[in-house]
Amino acid sequence: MKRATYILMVSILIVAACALAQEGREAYQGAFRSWRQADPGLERDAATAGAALEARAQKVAAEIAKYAAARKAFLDSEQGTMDASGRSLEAVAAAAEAPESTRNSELNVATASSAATSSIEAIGSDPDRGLQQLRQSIERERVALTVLSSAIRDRQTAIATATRATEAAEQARMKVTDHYQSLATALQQASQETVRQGSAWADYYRTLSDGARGVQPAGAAPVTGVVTGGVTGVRPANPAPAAPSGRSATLVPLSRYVGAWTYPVRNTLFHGAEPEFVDLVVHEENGQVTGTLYARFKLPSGSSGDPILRFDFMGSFQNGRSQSFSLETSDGAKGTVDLIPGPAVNLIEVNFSTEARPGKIRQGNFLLVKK
Amino acid sequence: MRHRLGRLGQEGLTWKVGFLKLSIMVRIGFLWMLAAMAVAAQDKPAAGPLPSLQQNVDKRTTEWDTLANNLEVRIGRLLPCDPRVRGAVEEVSRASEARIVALTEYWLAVSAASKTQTEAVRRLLAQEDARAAERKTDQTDAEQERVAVNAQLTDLGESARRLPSLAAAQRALDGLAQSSARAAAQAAERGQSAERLSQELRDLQAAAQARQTAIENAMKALAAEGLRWSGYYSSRLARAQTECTITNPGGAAPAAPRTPAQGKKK
Repeated sequence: MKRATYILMVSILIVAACALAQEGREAYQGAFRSWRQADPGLERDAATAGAALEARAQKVAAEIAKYAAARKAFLDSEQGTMDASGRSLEAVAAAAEAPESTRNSELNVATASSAATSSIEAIGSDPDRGLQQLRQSIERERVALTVLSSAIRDRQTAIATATRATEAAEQARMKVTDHYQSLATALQQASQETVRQGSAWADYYRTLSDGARGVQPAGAAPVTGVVTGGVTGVRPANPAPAAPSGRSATLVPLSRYVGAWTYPVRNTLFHGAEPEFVDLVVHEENGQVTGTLYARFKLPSGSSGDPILRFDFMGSFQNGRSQSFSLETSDGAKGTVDLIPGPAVNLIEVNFSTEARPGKIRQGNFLLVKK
Repeated sequence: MRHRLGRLGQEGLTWKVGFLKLSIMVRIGFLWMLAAMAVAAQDKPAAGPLPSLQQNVDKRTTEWDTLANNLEVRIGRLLPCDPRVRGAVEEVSRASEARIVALTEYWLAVSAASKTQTEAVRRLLAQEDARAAERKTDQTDAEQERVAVNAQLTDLGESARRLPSLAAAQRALDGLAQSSARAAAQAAERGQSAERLSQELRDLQAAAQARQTAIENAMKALAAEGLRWSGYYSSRLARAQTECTITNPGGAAPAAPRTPAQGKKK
């Protein structure tokens, strides 16, 4: 009953998720159109609009942020549907009896049949009426045993067929659930990529505004070719003012903190819980910092803890190299996160700790690379 | 007829000795059977995914095994017309029925789980078929975004030629264009993967239907075996009756004892 209720609930969830996905699709498609229609001539006018481009760029940036959020929500919903679909296929039990059990029955019957045959032979054609009655009775018993033996064999065959069919179906089921899982993972990655792109688009529109005003960013070129540094720490195209902009309160350029960061695939550095992946996005506006960290950690085998951690943080830059901000996790735990520029311009060290929550990661320390 | 009766009277002792010999032979045969059963009945079914029903099957099978293994030993110690002979056979028969009932309950539950999964597969297949058009929309949307970003890149390239400070934005947009192209390729991959999933679901549907048929056949075979066991125990009772009748022609048939049978728990 519980199983049937569970299956029913999962089915309802899948149907609901499909309905939500349809709404989500329409939402992101609408947001996409709004973005594309917001200012189609923005890039074309970038060389001539000057400072006036900033307001236009901000408007378009707001639209792309909406689109990215709607697209992410859609992909997350799709991922949920894939997860629920895979989970709705539960394994079916194999045959109930061990083969020995049916073999025992067959052996017992064969033995009884053999004993009956011996008895019949012992009586033989003895003319005694009573013995002949007994012989007839034993013969009937032997017939019953013969028919029973055949029925046992038939059932053995049927059980073997059912076991093979169950195993074949189970293999097919596992293939399907694995496929759902891989689709869910692909959608999760697409969702994360959408978040990264949303951040990159925001940076792009700021860079475009600066470029239109004749300024260009300082610091190293981004690792991946995608500009992720903010407009802070910029200098004019004219090389005269070499110092960082007055908006920076830090000892190092803000580009050492601001932008999108990720946990490297190789040469990882961490202390404590080992991350599987980490995505960190740091924004700055008028000295105020906001950011999000999303990570998955490798837990010891058998651990029932939650490997996922997500928190938002905010605060203002301090006059120092290490920057500390207040954070709040997705389940409401408070804590702090320190961002420390790494040994190279495209590296940052993250050190966080949160209030203890059962089964949750509460502290970590690792090095991230700029995207 | 009188001659026949007289002959029976003269040969009464011989008949009784013969019956005794026969009885010993039959019992030796059954003792041999018991030894074989004791060796064979070592392993019991492993607990499966339906633990409580599987445990019940194990329990009923063990009860039946024990009674069946001891039946001939119990009967061997009794006189042919002892009512406990009939009681012992009936007790094993009831234990056999209880085992068949437990097995039937188990297979019914397996069948129900199989049907539930088959229904889930049918629903998922319908869902995936319905999403075929949406998958194309996903790819179209991603491609649309890629084309749009490329158009932006073209426009910005023109502007950057006139204003060099836009070079950084151009590089950034180039990176975004590459990301969009990757996203479009991934959306296409997801679409192809979903099409393969539909085929796998169809394979699973066929396998689940084959399994359901096999389970139903196993249940039919179980019912048939249950009937045959009942038939065997009836014939075993009939033999006990015959043994009583021929050793005690004028006596009563072995009636069932009044004590309740142990095997009847349901």
